[in-house]
Parts: sequence; C-alpha cells; structure tokens
Amino acid sequence: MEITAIFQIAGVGIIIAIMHTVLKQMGKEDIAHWITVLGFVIGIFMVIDVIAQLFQEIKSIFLFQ
Amino acid sequence: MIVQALMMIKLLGAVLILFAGTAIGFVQASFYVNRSKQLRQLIHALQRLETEIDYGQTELPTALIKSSEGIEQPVSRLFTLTAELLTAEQELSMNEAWQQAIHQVWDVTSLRAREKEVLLRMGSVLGMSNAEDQLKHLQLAQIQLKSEEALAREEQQRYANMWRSLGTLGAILIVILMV
Amino acid sequence: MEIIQVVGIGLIAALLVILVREQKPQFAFLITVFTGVFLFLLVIGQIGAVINVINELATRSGIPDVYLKTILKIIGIAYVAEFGAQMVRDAGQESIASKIEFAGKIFILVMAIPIINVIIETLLSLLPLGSS
Repeated sequence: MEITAIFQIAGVGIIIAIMHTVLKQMGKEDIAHWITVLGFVIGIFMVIDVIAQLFQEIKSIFLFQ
Repeated sequence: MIVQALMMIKLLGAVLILFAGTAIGFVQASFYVNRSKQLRQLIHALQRLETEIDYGQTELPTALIKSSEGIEQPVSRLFTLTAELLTAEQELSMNEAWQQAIHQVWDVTSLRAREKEVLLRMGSVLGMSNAEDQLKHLQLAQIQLKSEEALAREEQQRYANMWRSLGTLGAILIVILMV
Repeated sequence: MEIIQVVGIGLIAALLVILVREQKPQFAFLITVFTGVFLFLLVIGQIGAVINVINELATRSGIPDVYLKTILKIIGIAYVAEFGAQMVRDAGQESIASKIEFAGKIFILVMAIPIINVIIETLLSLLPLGSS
C-alpha cells in the first residue's frame, strides 16, 4: 500500500463528481446515484485493505500472536 | 532500465485505454448526430420525390434515382436500391421493392423503428393509386418525419455531449483504478 | 527523516479532502480514514522497536512474562480503541465513538484484574494483620 492510493481515491471522487454533474444535467439522476455508490464501494475496498493491514500489525506487536 | 520499460508500457496502456474510452463515447454520440442528419436527408429526398411525381410525372425508378441525388450514402442507398429492384425484377410491385430495400438498408442507418413504420406505411401506397393520393401520403410521411427530426435534434443536443464526456471520464476512471 | 514524510502526506491529504469535499463528502471521508490509517501504519514500526527494548529489559530483570504481556495488551487496547473512536468520530458518529471508548475502558479493566489481584495479595502479605 502506498501513498498513491490517496491520490487514487481522490481521483475517483473527482471523476465521479464530474460524471454525476454530467448525468444530472442530462436528467439521468438514477444512473448518477448508482455510479456514486459504485465509486464509493471501490474506495471502501481500498480503505478496508489498509485497515486490515493495520490490525494485523497491531496484533503482531501488542498482543504477541 | 527494466523499470523504465515497465513505466513506458504502463503509460502506453493508459493512453490506449483513454483513447478507446473516448472513441466509444464519440461512437455513441455519433449515433445521435447521424440520426438527425439522416432524418433531415430523408425528408429532403421525400420532398424531391414529391416534386418529381407532381410536376415531372416521371416513372418511379427514375424519380427515385433523381430524388436520391445530392443525398449522402446510407439514406440515398434506400432509394437507389428500390429503383434497382424495380428495374431488375419486373414482377415486383413498388411496395414489395420498397419493403425489401428498407429491410436491407435499415441496419446500416442510425434510424429507429418509428421511422421504419412511417416509411413502410408510405411505401404501401406508392405506385398503387393516383398521383394525388400518393402525394398526400408523401406529405403525411414528411410531417411525421419532421416531428421525429425535431425530437432527434433535441436528443442529440442532450445525449451527444453526455456520451462524449462519459466516454472520456470512464476511461480516466479505469486508468486511475489501474495505476 | 520520516517526520517530513508524515507531514507531507498529511498536507496532501488535507488539500485533497478540501478539493473533494465540495462535490462528494463521502470520498472526503474515505481519504481522511485512509490517511489516518496510513500514518498510523507508518509510525507503528517505531512503537514496535520501543516495545522490543522494553521486552528485553523485562526478561533481564526477571519480571514474570505474564505481567509484561498484560501491560502490552492494555497499551494495545488503548491505542486501538482511541484510534477506532477517532475514525468513527470523523464520520460524524459521536455516540458510537463514545461506546467504543467505553468498551476499551472495560477491556482494560478486565485485563488489569489479575495484576490488581497480585498487588493486593502482596500488600496483604506485607501487612502483619493476618498473624496477630
């Protein structure tokens, strides 16, 4: 996991925000919302990955397992 | 050295994805642009056909070929093909030739089922009754197509831009996720 | 100079959060969480080094292994609880955050009971109350 993931999440957020505005202007708000949810799930996957790593680290250092 | 080569390959892939996404967006957008353009050409052709029938009193094959002049490919093909079918097979009625031509050409055009129905209904009258009746039906078809064209132009303004930006944005999204 | 790295990441993350929050607050939150976890991961290696030293000292001075383990576990629980509560608080869920902190306190108490027990027993054996 590297710092690029921060930029990745921010990039996904910005792109999806633009897509949202484009779709909203064309009157396709339902699709816009679905795209937002999709992007959010992708971001959550990245975050979950680091959190799992962190918990593993904490376990191995503090709790001797 | 190897790292640099890998970077180059990555960059190349990113550029390819960007290009492909943009192309997909433009193809989708061109569908809407083509639709309104082809509808406009179809109306022009019908207008010319109307004048040919009204003033020239020419035979249908020549009238069809004349009305297809000055119009671009997929739509003009509809008229020339009908004319060809009519001259090649004498026992074919105008209606049958028109139907065959529509079925053959339709997949190449960007037109939709509604226009197809309008044209088929018009074709069932062409070459059947007197000139006056035919002209009436030609005008009716034109009016219907004109309303379709107005609708198509509205859709074009709406969706063509949307597809163009969506294609590029989707490509950027994929690139970001794959870095 | 890892501190420069940490500060740089923090600054970049703050800028990105400000940039994204206008349009999509959910993604701003994701960036916040990610940055927090990432910085924690960066420094947790140092904590590991310190704990190794303490461990060594304890084995040399002959303190029973169980005590050190318990103390380390308590420290770990404190860190995890604090961290989790902070994350949840960032998401704007104050009530859940306070529950996490509460759970952390209770677990620390449970962990500490054997040690408290030993202390009290030692105290009792020092006091000459039982013999008289």
